[in-house]
Amino acid sequence: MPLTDKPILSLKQFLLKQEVKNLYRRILKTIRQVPDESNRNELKAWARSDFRSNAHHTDEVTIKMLIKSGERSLKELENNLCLTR
Amino acid sequence: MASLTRNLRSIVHRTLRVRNFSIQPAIVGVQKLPILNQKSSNFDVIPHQRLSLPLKRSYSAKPPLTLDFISDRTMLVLRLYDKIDACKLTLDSHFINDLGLDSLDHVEVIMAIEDEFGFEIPDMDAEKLHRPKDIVRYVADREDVYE
Repeated sequence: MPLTDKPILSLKQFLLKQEVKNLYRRILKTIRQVPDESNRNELKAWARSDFRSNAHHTDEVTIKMLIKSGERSLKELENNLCLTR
Repeated sequence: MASLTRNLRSIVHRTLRVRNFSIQPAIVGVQKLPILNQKSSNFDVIPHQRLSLPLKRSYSAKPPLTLDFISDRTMLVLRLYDKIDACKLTLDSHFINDLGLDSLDHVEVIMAIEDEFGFEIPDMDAEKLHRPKDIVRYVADREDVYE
């Protein structure tokens, strides 16, 4: 297997990365439950572009802040989904 | 002897009455039948539909999976994913090293596979699925397909 030119992550960075991926997963899974298809696609595109546009960050504090704001959005989405049912 | 005949007569009488009672609804039902038929001749859609129903019942079930079928479906899903170059895609290509996906894309790929096959892949297992081959193997194991 060829060695990639990616930097080796420290434990802290690795854990942060896992956290981001878990958040991404949870958001996509929640978006799946949105009843209307056009809304669902829109939300999916929004989540994708948001994660992608913030993927370049390396500063730990910034990443943690972004994770928190993502969790807040997720919570909001979950609450709204509960209301629609 | 006399009491016995009396008893018999009363029994016969009772059964007759019972029969009378039991017959009555049937007669009423028979009388109603022509009315029903008249009605249904106006709206004769329903009996015709009933007649044209297939005798064989089709229960919904998944089609039987084979390894080829799983790998075809997996490859189709991957080809439809916008960031994968369909020309480079083979069963052995590594998502991150060969196809140039990052970890976020990998999460999306796994979610697409979940959607396709209709079950959830836990995070622990999703981390290990680096190549289409691994996914096919995982789905086959999960659905008990071995040949």
